[in-house]
Formats: sequence, C-alpha cells, structure tokens
Amino acid sequence: MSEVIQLSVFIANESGRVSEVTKALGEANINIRGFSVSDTADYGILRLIVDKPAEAHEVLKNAGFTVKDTGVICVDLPDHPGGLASVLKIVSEAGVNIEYVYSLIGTYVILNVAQTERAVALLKDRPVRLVTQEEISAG
Amino acid sequence: MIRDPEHETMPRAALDALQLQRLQRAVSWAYERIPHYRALFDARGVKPGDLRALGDLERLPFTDKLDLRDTYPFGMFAVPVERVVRLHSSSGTTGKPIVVGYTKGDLDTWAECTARIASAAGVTDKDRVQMAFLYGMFTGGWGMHYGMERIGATVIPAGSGNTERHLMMMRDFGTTAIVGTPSYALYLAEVGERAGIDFSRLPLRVGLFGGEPCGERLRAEIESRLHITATDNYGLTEVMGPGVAGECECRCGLHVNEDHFLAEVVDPETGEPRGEGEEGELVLTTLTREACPVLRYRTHDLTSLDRSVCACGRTTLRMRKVRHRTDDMVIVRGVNVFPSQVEDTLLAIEGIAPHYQIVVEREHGMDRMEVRVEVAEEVFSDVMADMVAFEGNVSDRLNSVLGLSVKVTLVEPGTVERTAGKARRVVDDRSAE
Repeated sequence: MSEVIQLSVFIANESGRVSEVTKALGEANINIRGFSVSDTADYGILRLIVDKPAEAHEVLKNAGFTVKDTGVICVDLPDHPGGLASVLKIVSEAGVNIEYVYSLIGTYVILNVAQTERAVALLKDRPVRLVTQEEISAG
Repeated sequence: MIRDPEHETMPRAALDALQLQRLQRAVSWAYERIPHYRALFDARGVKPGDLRALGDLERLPFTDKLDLRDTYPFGMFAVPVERVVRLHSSSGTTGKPIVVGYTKGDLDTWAECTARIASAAGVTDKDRVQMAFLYGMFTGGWGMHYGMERIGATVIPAGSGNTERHLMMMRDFGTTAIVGTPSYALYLAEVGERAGIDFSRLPLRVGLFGGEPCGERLRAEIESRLHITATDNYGLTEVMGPGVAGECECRCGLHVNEDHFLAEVVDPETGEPRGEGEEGELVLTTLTREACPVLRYRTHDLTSLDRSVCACGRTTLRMRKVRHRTDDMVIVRGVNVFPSQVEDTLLAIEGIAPHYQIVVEREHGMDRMEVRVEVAEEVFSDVMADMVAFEGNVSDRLNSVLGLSVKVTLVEPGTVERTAGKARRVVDDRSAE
C-alpha cells in the first residue's frame, strides 16, 4: 500500500478542543507523527498522521468526536532546493488537482489529491520515494 | 389489534352520548371539589347544570398552564392527598413544575389507555419492550410501562441514557419493541451503527415514539436505520401522560381515547372552535380522571381532527400528528418559523441526522437567526472546500424555505442540549437584551 491513513477530526472553534484531542491520543499511547489544521471562524478540521490510525479512530470516536479516515500520499522529498516543486509538478502537470499539502517532521510531506490512485502511479514512475503506513507506524 | 372493541369501535352517536354523560359528571366533580374551577365558572356566570349537550362545552372556561402552576402543588386536586397513590410532575423549565396526582382508579385508567395505544401500534404479549423513556417524575416512562405490562409484554425498564447498555440489552435480550423519544431513537441508531451493529439482524421490529414531534421524514429515517415500524403516540402530563392518543397500523392520524378524553380544536388567538379538518390548538378535557380533572386544557399543540371511520375499524376520532406548538413558533423579523420546517429541510439534505438548534438573538435592534447543525460522520469531509459548500447548501435551502437569511453554524456532535432525551430546539435570547 502506498497510501497512508490520515484521521480528520471536526473541531468547534472553542478553546481547549485541540488539546482534548491530543490528550485523548496521548493517554491511549498513540504517537502523532504530524498534523495540520484548516479553520474558519466557527470550526476547524484537524488532520492527523499517527502511528496507530485504527486505534486512534476508536479513541476519538468514543470521546464523541466526528472522525474520518482518508487515504493520503506521503512523499519523502529530495532534500534540496526545488525538491517539493519537482514532486508537485509531476502531479499537477498530469491534471490531478491537489486538495491540500502539509509537511511532517523532516522531509516527509502529505498530499491529498482528487485522484489518489492515479497520482500514486505517476509518482511511482519517477524517482520519488513514497512513504508507507508501516514506516509511519514504526516511526 | 383492537384492545377494547366496545369503546374503540363504538358508533358515533353512542360515543357522543357516553361523552356527554361523562362530561357532565366530570364538570360537576371539578366544580364541587376544586375552588379554582368554581371561581373560573362563577366569573363566567356558568354552572355545571348549563351543560346539556356536547356543544355547550364552548361555554366553559379554558384551563391554561398558569392555572395549574398558580395552584402548586395540590390546589387542583379534587380528592384529599390521602386518596392519591402517585404523584408526577412536568419538567418545569422555568419556576415551579406542574404537579399531578393519580388515584388507584386513575392508574388503572392510565394503564388501560396506554395498553390500547401499544396494541394499536402492534405490540402483543409476545413482545419484549425496552423502555428508553426517563422514569422518575416524568410521566413517559411509567405510563407506557404499566400499559405494556397490562398487555402481558415483557418489559425492560432500561430508562433513558446509557446508550451502550441499551444496545447490549437489545442484542442480548432479543428486544422487539422500543419506547422513547424520536430523537433518542436516532441517537441509538447512530451509536449502534458506529459500534458496528447491524439492526436488520436484530429482532427489533416496532418503535413507539412520543414526548416530542416526529415528522414523516424523521420517522422514515428512524425506520430505515433501526429497521422497525415507527408509530407516534401523544399525551401530556397535565391531562394524564402518554395514553391520550396513538397511531394504529394505518398511521393516518392518532386515535384519541375518546371515552376518557374529549378533544376540541380552537383558534389559538381567539379560542373560537375550528371546524373539522381545520388546523388549530388542541384543547383537552378529561372525562374520567378522579384526582386531577382538567377542563378544556389549552395544550398549545397544533393539530386538526378527523371523525371519519378509520380503515382499522376504530370509530374514535383521529388527531393529525402534532408537528409544532403555538409556543414553539418563533417570529423572526416578522416571519413565523417552526422547528419542523428546519427539521424537514435538514432531512432533505441527504445524510444529515437532524440534531439542530435554532438560536434567535437581537443584534443592534435586528433579529438574527442562527441554526446550529451537528456535524455527523456522513457529512464530514477532510477537505475544507466541501465543508464550506455543505454549509452554504444548508443555509441556501433554509433561506429559501423560510424566506429569511439564516446563519448556519456547524457544531460538534453532542453540542445541542438534550434534557430527558428531548432536544432543546429553540433558544430565544432576544428578551435578554
């Protein structure tokens, strides 16, 4: 599998909600590898990459959050100027729309695109290293 | 099944005669024993003896919630408290609750009334009935409980809350019928689905819902998710509790137990009677209640009445499903808004479980209406553009249905307050300014 599971959580824009999510995960011994937040004035979407996505999903659902799993692509970027640009170019030149992108620690970047399978195939044809869920889980 | 064919299929003329006879007795009973009623009658210059035909009912004074509240706790009792074997009270959102008492005879009548409603909904002595109503002072739990026992069903008095335990018992005990509020039924479906329960494989087959309005769309949603037949029933603490009216298998209105309750529909503004089939406020008179007889009680529930004989064979009149209350309605910038309109709109947008709340505020002298919608898994997306589009879609549809500009706010599940399983649908903060 070249896809990595991302958890998205619906968060009301109230103080303490993000901290409650992270606390619940921490107490369940789940390690957050990376995250991003999109927000409006009223609410936000917290996107999480964790070592144990299935467990994390249960923990958050039981804590009353609305949670969703999405298959996203994780790329290990070449660590030099233009590294991110070279990867994005492959996808966008093929006409695949990028919904969002954010970085994890180091050279890992998460991409969510309109046609995931097609983007994976495009990237696999090139000298781009895709990171697997196993690697994320192993840390 | 028709539990009491004598009373439920009585020819109209005989039913009218029975009602008149019982009404005359009930009016004298209340007049002679409750000073508050005597004062109301005297103020209008009427005496129980003036009641010679059912049509004379219009001459009697109405009873409103305030009459019951002002006489707290026992001022509307027609018997000494020693003869009362049970007390119940309304939830009383503001100030003192309304207290009602039941004699042994009243409890017997009550169980019989709810037993009829359960039978009409298709419950038999073979059923295992799980009670999801609150017990305690609330009439919903106890009222249905005794009716179910009277039928001979196996009653599981689980009460409200602890959804995980409800689901466990439902599976382990082979529950076939559930009794509660429609919003709790939906919540049960949500939690059950999340826990991976396949309701189509459970023996659960029928639901009896009451305590809050349940529109056709909400009913359809509950039916398809829980794989049951959902029936509506109606009652209120002030006149007894559940057991006033309920749907039969035809589901074309709720049959009123007319040998115990006399139903009228009046203009909510003027109190003038409305014709058959016309919408208005339901007014109820108890015909057989001993401890707390109530005459012409203004329910604030909007409905219409149908006296045509039902396909099920019952001759008792049917009241249309109550969709809204006169005091539920909020007027926003001159526009009448009912929660049911918001509910229908949300349900029409596929995938939304209708947990919502209407909040009306006044900002710089202008009414502002906000609808808070809980984000269920079905509508949640990790892509912000989808969420913004969804929010826009909800507000566009609400704007066009209501003719008002509405601010839609997406909120987390569980945000909308629920008390005793009832969701609080309208919060009007305008008086605060």
